[in-house]
Amino acid sequence: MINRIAGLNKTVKITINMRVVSNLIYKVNCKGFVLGAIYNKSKQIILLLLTLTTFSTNCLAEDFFSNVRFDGYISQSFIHTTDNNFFGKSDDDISLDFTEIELLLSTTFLRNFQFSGSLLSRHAGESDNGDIRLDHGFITYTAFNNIDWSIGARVGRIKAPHGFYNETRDVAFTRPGILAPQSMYLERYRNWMFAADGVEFFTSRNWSTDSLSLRLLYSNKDPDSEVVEEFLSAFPINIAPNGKNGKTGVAKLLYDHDTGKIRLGLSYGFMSYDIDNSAIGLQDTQMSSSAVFLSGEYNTQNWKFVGEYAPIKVKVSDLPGGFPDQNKDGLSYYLQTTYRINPQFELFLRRGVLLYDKDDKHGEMLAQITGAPAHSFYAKNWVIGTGWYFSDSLLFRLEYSDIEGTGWVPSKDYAQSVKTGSLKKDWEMVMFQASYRF
Amino acid sequence: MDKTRLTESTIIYLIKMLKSKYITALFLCVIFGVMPCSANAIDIVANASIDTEVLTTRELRAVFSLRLKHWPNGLPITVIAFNKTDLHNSFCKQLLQIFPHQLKLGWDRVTFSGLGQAPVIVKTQKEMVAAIKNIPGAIGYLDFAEVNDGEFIKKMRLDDK
Repeated sequence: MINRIAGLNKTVKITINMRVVSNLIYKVNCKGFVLGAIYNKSKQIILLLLTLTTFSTNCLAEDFFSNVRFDGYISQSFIHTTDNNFFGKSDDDISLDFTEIELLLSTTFLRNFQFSGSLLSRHAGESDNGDIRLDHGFITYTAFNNIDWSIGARVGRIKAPHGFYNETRDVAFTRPGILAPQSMYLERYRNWMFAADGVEFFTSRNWSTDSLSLRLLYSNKDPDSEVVEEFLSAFPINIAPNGKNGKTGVAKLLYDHDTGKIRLGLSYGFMSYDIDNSAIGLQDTQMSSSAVFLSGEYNTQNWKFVGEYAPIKVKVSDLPGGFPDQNKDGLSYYLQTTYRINPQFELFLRRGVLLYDKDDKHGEMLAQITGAPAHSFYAKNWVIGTGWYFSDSLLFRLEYSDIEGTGWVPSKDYAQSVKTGSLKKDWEMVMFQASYRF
Repeated sequence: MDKTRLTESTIIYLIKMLKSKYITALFLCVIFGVMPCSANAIDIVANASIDTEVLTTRELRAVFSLRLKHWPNGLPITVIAFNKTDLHNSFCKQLLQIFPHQLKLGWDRVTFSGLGQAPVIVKTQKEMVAAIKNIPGAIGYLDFAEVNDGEFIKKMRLDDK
């Protein structure tokens, strides 16, 4: 058996090796010390291992581990800005503080089940410190699947399907540039946009060359303190970032025409939570936001045109410090055209716009209310970039951005720029990224 | 003068040749025969455990787009593919009618969003044959006439009728 598979690639070899691993884990798990030994490492890693070991009962172990696949990537970026720091000290310097490493594991078991999980280490300046965390981890149950229909559900930490890119925004090979378009996929809101602990229902209808899919995701997990902190950073108030009564939902409809030559998406996402002010004897602050993403893509042999448009509503009430209630209609969109010179090289041009309040395009009213600079409430950029697919596994990208406004600068980089006096309305950014997948 | 005479005689000779019904038949065969032959220069191969011999283009597309998960007898489908070879490009364009880079992007989206498992990628025809033979439910493709039906591997027929 082993000789017969000697010529196969690593994935198949791993499949065989994992059978041995599965038996080992089963035996260790029976003795009941594996969880205790690693308990202090990280709660998130434990969640992953707990899920794995829970399923490694005698009858399931072989099935669960016989189809294991590993995938992953590592990306390193070099960022230089003329002003304003972005992911570390990039102002008049080169920041190496944007590194992403992710290991994904997936396996199928009991015919209709799939487990998928990933461990991510993401170092993004002060915003992300590179600690290993469970980025996503969920079980998919496909209740029905044939050539026409697919219906099922997922449970766990699920990637939120906002727009075209949210689910794969960290993967250099699937996003349309070094960063997913910042006007829409803001790094500063990544942690609350990216994944939700909850349940998802999915269905898709497939025709010969077309398909229509629907996904409905719901979570009632409270937001992490970093998420609340990021939100509060827009206001000059100092309250504890304790979120409660969290609710998150995403509904996404995606239509794929002519084997992907045209893709159209419509997604609606909402998030709401309260900030607990009981410690200072004040009423709770209510925060809610919702966004509709309209997405479109047109592909030819050498050209790709993609655009997304998202009106965003943000409501805030009962802020301490006498701030008036906020009820803002924001807007974000981008348009990108990519030309594939050949299978190895591509060039792209992108225009992105983000407005915190579409009736206050230059942020002047918000500046008056909050005291923060007007340019921190919007951002617009032109990006020109190139991608070089050196091999199937290695991708290099180089990009230049001309930016007006600081609306998408991560709050900790923003604070650092204020401290060093490098905060400017007009700035430029050059980024280079090398990404390797395995 | 000699040159002109030579050209004239060559043309007359060619016309005579074309008048010959054998030559004309051969000519038509070449013109109309080569094209379908080249479109069929790829064989779809599968593990012998699969309980079907015929696929429609729609089914083949659903399998390679990772939308269809099981064969009719319940075996999970494992897609085996080459990466960026001429054979893979021809397979995508001729049989699936999908741009190769679009198919790849679709695989990456499924893999990295955790919604499915990517195909097993092989580098050589030998690896493809080994993978197909050894993984129950596996399906892939090979250069025409690279392999004959055997105990572990069989050719699949594409038929849209």
